[in-house]
Amino acid sequence: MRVYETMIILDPDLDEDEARSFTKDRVVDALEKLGAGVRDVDHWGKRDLAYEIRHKRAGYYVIVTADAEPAAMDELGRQLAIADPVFRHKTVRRPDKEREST
Amino acid sequence: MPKVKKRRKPMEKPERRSRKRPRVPGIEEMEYIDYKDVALLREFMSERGKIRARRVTGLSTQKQREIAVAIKNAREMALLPYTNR
Repeated sequence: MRVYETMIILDPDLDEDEARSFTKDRVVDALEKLGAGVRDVDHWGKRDLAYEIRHKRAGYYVIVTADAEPAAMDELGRQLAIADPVFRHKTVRRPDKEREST
Repeated sequence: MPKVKKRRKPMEKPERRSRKRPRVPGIEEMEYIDYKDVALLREFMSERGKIRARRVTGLSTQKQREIAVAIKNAREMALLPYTNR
């Protein structure tokens, strides 16, 4: 198991509830179904983008940290890529957090 | 044309950052450069949004690379601009 951190930019036109339920159903539950353990979910909320994406100047940011196998993160990435409200997503490994947990 | 001898202006010494005074103290000791730390990464970018050269930042090879990768990740996620015109 490794520690991964995924940042997702959602459509800012979603309201807070929609953004939270998307995160819960399509990210947290999906990860748990893939055998990952979600450590933390950080809702940054709406934030201005450094440049326009899909003609929007803002985005709803969420950061999810999880213990997972590499294959689980690949699958999550695939699912996020085809989800309509997802503007961008990026997963990075956090080797610094892996060290402190072992 | 008469030759006019050009007077050299006394060269101003460019302000020099000593190798011992890094732009961000303690950066070399940081274990993980987080691409979400926009304030930190901005220290290593020009006004125009470009990544500062190693000779300006004075970073080690390893840290310069980590900073550059972090800035590129932050750009992809629209946390930092590609350009600032």
